[in-house]
Amino acid sequence: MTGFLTIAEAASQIAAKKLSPVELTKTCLDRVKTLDSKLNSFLLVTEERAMADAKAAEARMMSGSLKGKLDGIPIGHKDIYNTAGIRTTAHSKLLENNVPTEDSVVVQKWADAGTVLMGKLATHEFAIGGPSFDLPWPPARNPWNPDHFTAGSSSGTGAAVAAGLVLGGTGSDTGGSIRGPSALCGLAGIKPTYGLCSRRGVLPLSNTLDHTGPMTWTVEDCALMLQAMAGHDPLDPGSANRPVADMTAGLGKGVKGLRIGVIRHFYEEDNPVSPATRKGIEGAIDFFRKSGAEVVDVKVSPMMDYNAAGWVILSAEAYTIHEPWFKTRFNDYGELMRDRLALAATLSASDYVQATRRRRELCLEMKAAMADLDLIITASAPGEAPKITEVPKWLMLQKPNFTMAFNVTGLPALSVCSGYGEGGLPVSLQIVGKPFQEATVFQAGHAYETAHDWRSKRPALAA
Amino acid sequence: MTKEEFGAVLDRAGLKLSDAQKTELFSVYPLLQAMVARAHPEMPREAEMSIMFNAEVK
Amino acid sequence: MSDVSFEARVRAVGLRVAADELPKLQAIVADLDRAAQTVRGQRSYAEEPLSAFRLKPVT
Repeated sequence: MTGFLTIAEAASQIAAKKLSPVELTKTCLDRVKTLDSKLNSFLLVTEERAMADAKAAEARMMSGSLKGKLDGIPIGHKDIYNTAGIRTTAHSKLLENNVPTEDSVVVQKWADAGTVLMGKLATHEFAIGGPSFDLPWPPARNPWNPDHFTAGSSSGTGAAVAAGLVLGGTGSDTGGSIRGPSALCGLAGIKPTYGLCSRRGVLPLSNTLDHTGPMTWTVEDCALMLQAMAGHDPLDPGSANRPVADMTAGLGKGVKGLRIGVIRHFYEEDNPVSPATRKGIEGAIDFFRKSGAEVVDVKVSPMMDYNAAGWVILSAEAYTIHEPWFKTRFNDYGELMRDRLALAATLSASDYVQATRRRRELCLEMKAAMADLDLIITASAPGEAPKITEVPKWLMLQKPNFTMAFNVTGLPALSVCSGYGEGGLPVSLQIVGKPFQEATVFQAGHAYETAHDWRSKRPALAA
Repeated sequence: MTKEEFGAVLDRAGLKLSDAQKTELFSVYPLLQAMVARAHPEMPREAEMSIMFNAEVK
Repeated sequence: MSDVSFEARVRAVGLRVAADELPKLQAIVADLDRAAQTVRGQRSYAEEPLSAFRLKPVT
């Protein structure tokens, strides 16, 4: 096997005809064959499609007609993204034999950019169950230590990208499902601004909280992948009709002059993080200050307030989507998804409406807090990944997570690796921007990431 | 809500839960209610929602 | 829906209704339930609601 390449590195070598997309794809397929029996990150490997895509990319390379930086790059899609003619299951018995007739918009956009489709990746059931051991397929495992949790719900993408089985993949994020696995698997993953990327053709969980987004090894790769998935979709009612910015515009420009707020009470009081996570955040604050940014503390409502509004809305909307199946096929769901959502049957219409009114207050509060700032930083996860058998079933009701606040407010939020903890697994931090200011988020994330050595280390299992 | 009332709400929703499932859900129901209460602060009667109706249907 | 369940449901949402008012309320709720059932219909799980979350870009 060859070494690990980022998307930017592979793109540069393909453009210079120094790397064959076919050889790159074969390397990734070999890694899948060698490693995925330990990781369970793929629900379906589309080897023939991958080789066909790779050969087409190679032909474009040879004829000087490459489509761009993603041409010939091996990727995978979370298995809630519809893929025409390719099984799309949501990791659930309910859709075990579901074969969509159309690609989701994002799948089509990445295909149009020349990516190589390696297959469909594991997810928590319908993007909310998990880690479940009672589904037709086992849960994905963390490449840094397969006894440990990937987080979810974009669990397969987290594992596959970290282990180098694909160079990037899609996730979806309703309460943290891109940033959670990015944090625990040591990736860069962004939940973009609500409305930036189409959700059409992606199995919904919660209409007003769902986001699609990319997960990659580096921040630069994340910007490249987001560029290729962003854009107005007139058939997605949540889609924003505005031009797409250049996501890479700020890369390499440093952070001098940026104003950064730190929501310290989220990770010091509301849900105290591990020493390594805190050290990573404090190190980042120090780095940003020394690099010329102005850093100030910011206080908003307790993190549980954001989680409460978010969870009530998520539960009510998800229950509505699943209600017909809940009434007829309740026990075909895995225990975690089934029981977590069944509670929503006790919510009233006024509970939902009140939560949406509270959400508006929280959006306005966060907007005011960011008025004089360019970015916010805080934690993205409490610490290293726990053991996969020790994830509490009702964790989302017991402790607030660090990600939901930015689903509730719709703001762009990036999780980046900030080092490694005592157990040798990654820790992380979260960088949040103003609406549609992803380029500034990437600017700061890239400056931080390239000034540290975290990206030189891959999971021992994959290395 | 008593356990009987809780069970009645689930039954009415059309869910076919075993007694054991109802017992477990009832044990965490106070956690959900705490979240509901947090999402119900004192708000003016005219407070708007975060979702909007738009007559221009897409 | 049984009478017991209806009473339980009324209590569960915190309403205190006089016993002689209960049959009338139950009849109204039954009409409302039928209306709600009609509104539900057969839909794809992918169908979006009419109300949308909106986020204005930074100015």
